[in-house]
Amino acid sequence: MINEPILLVIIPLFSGFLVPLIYLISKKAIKFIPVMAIFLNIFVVYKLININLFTLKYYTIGGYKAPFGINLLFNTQTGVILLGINIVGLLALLFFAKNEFDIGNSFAYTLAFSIGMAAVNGMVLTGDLFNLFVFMELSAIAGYIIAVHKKGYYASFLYVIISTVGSLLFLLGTITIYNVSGTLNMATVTKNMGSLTPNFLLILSVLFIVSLSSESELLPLNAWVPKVYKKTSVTGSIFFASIFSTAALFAVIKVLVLVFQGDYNYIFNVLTIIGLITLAIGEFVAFKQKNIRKMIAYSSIAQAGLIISAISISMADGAIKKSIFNAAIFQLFNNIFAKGLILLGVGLIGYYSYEKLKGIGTKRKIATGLISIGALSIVGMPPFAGFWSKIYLIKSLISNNMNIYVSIFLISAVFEVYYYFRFIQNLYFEKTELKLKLSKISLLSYSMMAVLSFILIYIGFNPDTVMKSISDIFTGGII
Amino acid sequence: MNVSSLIIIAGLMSIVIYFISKFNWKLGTALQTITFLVFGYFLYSTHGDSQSVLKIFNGVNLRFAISDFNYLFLLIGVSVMFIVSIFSIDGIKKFKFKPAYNFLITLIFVSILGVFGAADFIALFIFWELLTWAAFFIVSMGKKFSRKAALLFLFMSMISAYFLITGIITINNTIGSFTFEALINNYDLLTYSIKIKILIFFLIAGLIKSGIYPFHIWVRTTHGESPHTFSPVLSGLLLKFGFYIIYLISIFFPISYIISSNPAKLISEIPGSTFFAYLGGISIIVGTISAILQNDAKKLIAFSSVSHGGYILLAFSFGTSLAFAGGLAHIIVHALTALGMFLSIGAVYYRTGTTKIDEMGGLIKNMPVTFTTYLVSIISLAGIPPLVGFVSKWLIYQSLIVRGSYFLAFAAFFGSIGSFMYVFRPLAGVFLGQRPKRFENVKEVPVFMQVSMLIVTLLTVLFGVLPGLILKPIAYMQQQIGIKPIKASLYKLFTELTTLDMVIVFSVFSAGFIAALIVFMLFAKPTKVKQHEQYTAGEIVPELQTQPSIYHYAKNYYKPFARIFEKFPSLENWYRKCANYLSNIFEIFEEFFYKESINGYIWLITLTFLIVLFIRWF
Repeated sequence: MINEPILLVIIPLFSGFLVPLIYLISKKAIKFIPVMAIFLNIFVVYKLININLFTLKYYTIGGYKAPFGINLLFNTQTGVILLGINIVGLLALLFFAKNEFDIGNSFAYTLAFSIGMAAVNGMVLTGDLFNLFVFMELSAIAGYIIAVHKKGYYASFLYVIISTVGSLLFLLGTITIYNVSGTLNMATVTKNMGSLTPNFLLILSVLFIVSLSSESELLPLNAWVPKVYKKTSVTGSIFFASIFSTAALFAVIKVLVLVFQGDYNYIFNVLTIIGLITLAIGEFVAFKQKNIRKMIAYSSIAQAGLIISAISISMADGAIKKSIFNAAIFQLFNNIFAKGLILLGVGLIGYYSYEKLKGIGTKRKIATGLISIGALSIVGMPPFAGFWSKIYLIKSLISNNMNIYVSIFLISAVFEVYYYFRFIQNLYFEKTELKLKLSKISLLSYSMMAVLSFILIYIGFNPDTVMKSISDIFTGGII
Repeated sequence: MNVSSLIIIAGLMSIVIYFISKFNWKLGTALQTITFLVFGYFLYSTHGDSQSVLKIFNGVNLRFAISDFNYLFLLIGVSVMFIVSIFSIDGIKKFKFKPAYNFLITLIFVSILGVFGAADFIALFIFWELLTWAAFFIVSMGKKFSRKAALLFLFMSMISAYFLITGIITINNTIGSFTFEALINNYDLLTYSIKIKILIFFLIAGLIKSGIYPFHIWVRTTHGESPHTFSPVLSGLLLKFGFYIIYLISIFFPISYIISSNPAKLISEIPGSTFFAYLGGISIIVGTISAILQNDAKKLIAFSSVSHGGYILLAFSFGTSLAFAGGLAHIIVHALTALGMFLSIGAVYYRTGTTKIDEMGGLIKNMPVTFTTYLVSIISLAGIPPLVGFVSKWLIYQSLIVRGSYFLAFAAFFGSIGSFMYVFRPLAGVFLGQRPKRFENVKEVPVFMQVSMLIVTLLTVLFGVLPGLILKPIAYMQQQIGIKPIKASLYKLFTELTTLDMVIVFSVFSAGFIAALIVFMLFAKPTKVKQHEQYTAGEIVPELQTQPSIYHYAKNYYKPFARIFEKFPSLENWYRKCANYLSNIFEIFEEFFYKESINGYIWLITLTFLIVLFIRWF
């Protein structure tokens, strides 16, 4: 019974329903519900991974066989992504329960977090296009609510509009595919798509590109990212940066690989170009920011652009170039943990602008040290995880003769190093404002940050193991 | 003792030193010095080749080796760190973050071992990056403008690092392995175009890191603003990393060999490797002139490092056995000289709190040891026998004369003569002349700082009189990498044109010195003059009473010379303007894509949609 991946969706969803019931009994207790749900989730994922599946297994739901019913795809690859997402989710929710839970108005947010986690797990698991749409909408709704945390009204409204445009286009694309191939199952759809005329395919692919770029933070639909990241609470920004964007990226990968497998070069080339432009613009704009959350927002945009363009390059021209694909996934992992670490650390300190964060290093030594580890890992300094992801990326790109790509990537990387190091410098080497009130950071919070740093250092010292598992799992599995 | 175990032990020691320094910083620094000494002893006693593999990153085997080709570099690295560490025992008293400083210095030591001892390009690159961020944090610990200086340093270092990694991975792409051995064995697999690419990548990376014109802009601010015990390391060692890369790539791809063997494929107006020789020559001239124009002692020495980098590049790009040896010897010479000059200026700063030349004067009475160190260093810098500076300059001049290149010979001699002008200025401005009232009670620096300065002085004299001590290892180096080794004996210099016996030179100079000393003591009688006694030829100058310091002789020392170069085009200003333009362009991106209007976004989305559709439909 524990071996059903559908549990990963049901447990958080059920906890979402529990929240209003428990709210009637005790207003304070609701903050523990999502925490326990995710904890159970992690347990289930762990058990599922241990079955050691390298090939895709289709889990049917409700007894309807594919391709008529919905099925979930699970293998160790999805399991690893789910584990990462759930661990970061657990840490973020612990942080929420401790620091940002406010009895007066947190009912909606607790609910939103639970449902958001359910939707995210569903997005990663599902193997059906319309089901993906449903989970995307669900996560978007949870996102709307989370974005309003701490009065981010305008930002959330922007997100509503943009996300709705994206979802509508996605729905249009799905309906078209259903009309053509008679089924909504991602794996079966490709068989019938060959009968479409090229122009039709073009429109279809464009629909998907534009719609998927909303959730995954690509140009041109990523204008909501800096505003939402700046206004929402810290838990919310961790959710957006590490959890939602990863799940959305993974869903994009799934759609691209399963539905558009074959000779659809145009979509991959366009995605590469959009991804590279996003990378460059993201880094350049992040360069000028003086607010740490906006800086992370733009950096997040740039990394999303990098990963999508790497993945689309690896799938263009028919054969999948495994090395680039694996390097991109490695970078995805580095991002999840490093961004979560920085945001958690800054959230624990409580201030977000460069002015206020000046010289904090002398007052909160351990927290600043751990934040610096996160920053060093994102920019790719040894001995942390980011170093190896950069090396693998450059290696795989040069061996496939993608020279322009490498130059754009390295130029943006120089700027990225500059602004992250400027951030660390600001933490340590400026004079602090003496009157700043700093809340005490509990041992639990320190241990959360320590867990994330430890993961980064562990990956940094074991690059080959991680890379081997990625290449076994990913290019062995989903293809 | 092989390099990998040394690296692991040094890494662990860095953490130990950090915690001990938190408890008592002097003890921590002393422990650091002892560690460096012990490591130096282990390295020195390793005769013959040793190879080792470091397996801390699983699946990635980092190979290290100590062999003739990098033995000298390792020794230079460890010795410089050791001498600076002795100096730091007292020198870091006024620093704010002492435990972190010691920790980072030990990390730099680890990265020195890693870069110079690497037998594998990935190992080289890992420790190169480690060095970059450790050095960044140390440079940021300096004075008010050190943050910007550190960021500029970081920017240039990252550009250099990315060129390096691109070159490394290009090699790996063709050969399939990262180790040096594999490159040497599979050299024929590389096509000519790939060789040129790799050469360019490595050379640009090395040139940026060594501060050669036109990449010298970061040298001035970084040296000027970094903490005083770190500038000698920066100048004496970190610049040498760039030259190590150039040296390595000349082993694998002897520069003159690669380009001259296919002359038809190149643009015929840039024959051979003369391009880099000329770049070195320009560096010498630019460095010398800019140094003459500086008012701050550390920035002056920074520019002198640029000009000496030019000498080394000049020597390397010639390719002949004599020139190569001269280049390597000059690396050692420059390390010692930079050490001597920066340590003495650092000692002066420790006691007076300033490095601006026109605020000081007459400190020779208060700080004799510092004065001696500085004097010996500048004599060596100018290439005057019997000190060590003469050895390398002699070799380089000989090879220039043999080759017969006019512009380069002019550049080299100009560098030597011009260096008289700029090194004399701190000497006269800081140590000689009249002492300002506020520095009357300045004492000599504490014992450890004196000890380190004396070590530098002794080494300078020793290697000058017995040049074989540095030339013999260099001959072994040349033998191993396949260049004809120079003839070297303990105290004789051999070149194609002539032989020079350094002991005779030393005795002649000493005899002359003693004779002059005797004459001075018997006959010269100094006249005491008041501090601000100025000769004004009968004119009444009211400022002499109110602001005597503007007529202090050290102010605007080289004003007529400076007037020539006042409105010269400056590369630094050009870079700064480019940076501002780029910054503004980034702001334009932000304004265009991320402004406040929702309708604007929908418009952007539609536009993208149409563009993506339209491109396909032609």
